[in-house]
Amino acid sequence: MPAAPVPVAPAPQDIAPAELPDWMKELAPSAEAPAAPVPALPAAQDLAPADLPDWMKELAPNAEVPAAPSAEVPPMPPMPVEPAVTPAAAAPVANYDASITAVPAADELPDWLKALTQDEANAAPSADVPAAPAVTPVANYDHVPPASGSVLPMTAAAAADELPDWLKALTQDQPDAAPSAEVPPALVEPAVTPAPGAPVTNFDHVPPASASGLPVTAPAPADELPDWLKDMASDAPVEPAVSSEPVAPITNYDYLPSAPASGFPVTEPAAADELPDWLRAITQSSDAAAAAATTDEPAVETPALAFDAAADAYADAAPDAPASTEPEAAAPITDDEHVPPAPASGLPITPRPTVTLPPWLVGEGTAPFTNEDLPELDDETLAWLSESKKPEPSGLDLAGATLPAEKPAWMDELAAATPAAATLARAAADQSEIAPTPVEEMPDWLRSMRGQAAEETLTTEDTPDWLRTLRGLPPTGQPTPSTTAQPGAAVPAAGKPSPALVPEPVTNYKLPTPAPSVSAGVTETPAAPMPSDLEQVALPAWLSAMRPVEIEQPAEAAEADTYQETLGVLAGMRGVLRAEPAVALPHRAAAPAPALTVSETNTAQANILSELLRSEAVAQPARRGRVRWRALVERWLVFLVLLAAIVLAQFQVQLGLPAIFTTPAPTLPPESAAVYQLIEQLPKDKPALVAFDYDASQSGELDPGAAVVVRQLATRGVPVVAVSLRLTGSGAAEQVLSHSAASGYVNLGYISGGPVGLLQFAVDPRTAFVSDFGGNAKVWQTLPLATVHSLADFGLIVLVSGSPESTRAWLEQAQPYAGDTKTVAVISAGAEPMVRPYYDDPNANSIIGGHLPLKGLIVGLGGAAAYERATYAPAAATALWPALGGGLLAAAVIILLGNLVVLLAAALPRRRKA
Amino acid sequence: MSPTELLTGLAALVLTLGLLTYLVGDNPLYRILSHLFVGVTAGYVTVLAWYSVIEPQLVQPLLAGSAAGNLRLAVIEAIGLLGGLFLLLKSVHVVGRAGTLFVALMVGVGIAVAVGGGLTGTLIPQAAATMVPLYQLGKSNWPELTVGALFTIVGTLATLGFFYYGGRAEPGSPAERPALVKPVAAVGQVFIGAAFGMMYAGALAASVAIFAARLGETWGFVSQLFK
Repeated sequence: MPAAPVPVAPAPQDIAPAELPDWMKELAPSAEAPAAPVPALPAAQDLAPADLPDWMKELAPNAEVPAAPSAEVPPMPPMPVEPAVTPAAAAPVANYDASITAVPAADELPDWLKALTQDEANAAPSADVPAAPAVTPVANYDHVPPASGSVLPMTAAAAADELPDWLKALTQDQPDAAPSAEVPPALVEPAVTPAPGAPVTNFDHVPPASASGLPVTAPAPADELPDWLKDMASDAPVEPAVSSEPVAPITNYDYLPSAPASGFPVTEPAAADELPDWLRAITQSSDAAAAAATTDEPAVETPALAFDAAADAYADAAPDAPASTEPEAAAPITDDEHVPPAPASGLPITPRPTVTLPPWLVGEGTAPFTNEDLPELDDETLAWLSESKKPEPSGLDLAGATLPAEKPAWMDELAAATPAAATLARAAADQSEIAPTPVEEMPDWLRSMRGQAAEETLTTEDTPDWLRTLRGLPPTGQPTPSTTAQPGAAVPAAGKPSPALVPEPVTNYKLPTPAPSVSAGVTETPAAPMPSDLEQVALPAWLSAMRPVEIEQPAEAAEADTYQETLGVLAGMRGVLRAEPAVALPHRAAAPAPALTVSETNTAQANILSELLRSEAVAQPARRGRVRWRALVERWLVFLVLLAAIVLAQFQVQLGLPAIFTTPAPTLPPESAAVYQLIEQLPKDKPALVAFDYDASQSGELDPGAAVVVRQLATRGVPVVAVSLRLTGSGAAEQVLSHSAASGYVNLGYISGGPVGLLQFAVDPRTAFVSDFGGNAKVWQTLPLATVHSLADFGLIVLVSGSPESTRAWLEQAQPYAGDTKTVAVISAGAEPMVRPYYDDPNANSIIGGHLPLKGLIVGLGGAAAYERATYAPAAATALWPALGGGLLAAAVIILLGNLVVLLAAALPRRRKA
Repeated sequence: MSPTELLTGLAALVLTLGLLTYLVGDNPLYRILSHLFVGVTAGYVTVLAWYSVIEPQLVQPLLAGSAAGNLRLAVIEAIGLLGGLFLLLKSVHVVGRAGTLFVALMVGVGIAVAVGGGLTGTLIPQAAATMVPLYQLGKSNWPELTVGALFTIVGTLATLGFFYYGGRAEPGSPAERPALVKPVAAVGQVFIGAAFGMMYAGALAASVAIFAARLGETWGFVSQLFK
């Protein structure tokens, strides 16, 4: 292997279009349309030197340096295996054709191959092969990397039974007419020495299709050929089996593909004076090599193997190591100018470490490589190698590699798929139009150009300098440890353009699928050891602290919202924010609810409440003894005091007691005087509405007041219409009216529905009652109500209420519909505090003075007594006035005495304690 | 004295004395009379409800509407009848929920009516009644009016301040009002106490009046009975 890593074709996607060479720009459109046929490149002869990329132009001076392979040259991609067709002199084919088909002379074959050829010497070529493969003796075929590479060095002792299975399968599938069951016909055919003046050069630049043991020199039968090869075979003109025509020297341009219909890039032979110096030197050397190949030289080891071994040895050899002592053991190479003699420089050739190969690999004609296989090195090469001070680990060193224990399946698949591929290739050859190459059959470099993923990852070391310059990387002028074996890449020989210089001819035929062994060989190659002078040092602490931590963390995959809206105007759009999870779907509240903190006080209060509830639920025994008698005494005492006060007051005159409670005051309070004045001003044609909103339990207090008002109304001749918000109020009204309403009255009865029914009555009195309390359905046709259609048709509204709720209901619901009709009230003494605020006191200074609904007020039995006296109609209220006074006085005394007793009872224990 | 007045007078005397037996404690006579009053009241209310509400306001219109071909009136009354039946069967678990709709209707309508009337008939007028001038020129009794106005204003504000529930509870101590609200709440408590005293006095006066009236009627019947 060369000191410099073999560059790999750059990925076109990494280069801006403007930075691409012209010829590569022409290929660019094909990258956008992978399925489209690849446009043919211009013919080689059409390419002027000016059209060549710079890196090609720079190859000439580099080529002049035999021992310095260009590091800028992109590697040669896997080349298709062409059938052995010898190009005619008039139509020289691209050199890669010959490189593949070139078969060394019989005397140049290795021993194992010789043995094979001798066994199959008499075998006829396969009938499937359209033409006998023309084997052009190649002078410098040793430049071609061995088919097996250094991984599988073929030895002379390899027997037929040591061939790999795939090769066996291929040969066994041959028809009987095949020359050999194990050796391809191409190997059987004797090498025809071409004319000395027509050496085929540069074909050895083409790397083999496989470097893992695939004998690329064996032309397979037509049915075993891959598709791409069949295409070429069918399109290629059938040449004579053996061509003795001198092959024109192929210039450096001949590797450029042309665009013939056959797909074979054909180049015109360039004149010798038109060639650049470096190429002319190559040509001359090739000619010399070709001439040397025709000489009778003893059979030696396969030069390719020897060269490969030497190259690996150079890579492995340390500069200061002693020179190999077995340079002569290596087979002499005809083109000795390209093979540096190893011993002259004194470079030691370090034995390659023996690789433990798996049984399936060892038994396929492989054997450890020995130093005897090393070629001789010339002084120039050794001098070049001596400049390289650093040892280069061989990319093919499999010391640390882990080979599969079993033969890979792809090898069997390859062998099995070959006939089918041949059939397909034959069918494809019959087609006038060439189908586009499937993506999986494309080589990596073409995939890269089309923007498709390559099978191999391009390493930085493989990047050419011109691409490294574009990427801002330092050039690879110095040798760096090569870690990747490039079986498919030929070792650039001195004086010859590197195979990497040869771009892949892009034609319309199907491109071969890269041999799986290429990638396998790459992956199986162990990583190169770290150079000793590049020790990995630890970062100082201060620098480690400054290093961002985020770099160490793996990048999280970006969340991709693939939700697609299906409803509304946003239907069909992706990435739409969804409101459903936040609105409709149940979820936890964003803000956590504050935890309930229970203090000791809260706990104590809760315990007290729980104790109360518990005590209420438990049946308590009846209290007896002093407590019971004490309550009984208090009860009797209060009763007796009240009874005595009432009786004494009521019968104060009969008992000869001083008249404490005489008659009520002759003057009415203002609120009662207002009632009196309103009734006195009532017109007689309008009935007065009296609401009896109390029951029998309050009749003793309210009947006197209602009766005195009704009597006054009757005195005034005002008819009375009675209603009630209580169901039993109609009875109380009937009792009062029957005794007091001399002018006539109508008892409509009960207003059902509470405030709602009252509102209905206020709005439309006729719909609220269909009959009166006595069942008279024609109540609205009678006189008191004949003229009444609304609440405003009444002359006065008198509310006799035992509770403030009834009075407030009337004032809230019915008063707004009363119009100018005034409202007065006769209320219980207990309801006075709640009803008085509605009284419109004429002496009040409020801002709404005169607008309150209640215009008069008679409170309790005392107000009734006063009203009776004012109306000069003493009745029940006046009769009960002394009893009421006595009872209220007694109640007041009891309250005072009770408070004094409590105070004294509370004070006595304190004095005792003091 | 007519026999009716005699019987009713005697019944009233017996029932009155029987209830007064509660002075010696809970006794069977008091309980019998209590149940008698409850039963008589219930029966009386039922009869009144039929004759005052159901028969005149439901049965008669329904029959009259159906007979007269008044479909609107018949439908309305039928809905009322259906609602009444569901309310009657509210205690039955199976059809109890059917009456919920009518209960909701009644409650909703009742609340709407009460709120509307409360705003226009109580809240606004009562709030306006507390807006009194402190000093009125041109009136001879302006000192009296001013004192009355001060009482009104101070009483109203202090009572509202008493119902301020913005106290904070410190750990280990009961909740207390803010410092500024404390004196106001104390004054308001005085006014509230006075209001409750008035209500109690009114209730006591009413009770004394009823008691006196009852004693007077009993004394009158007895005096007439033995006259």
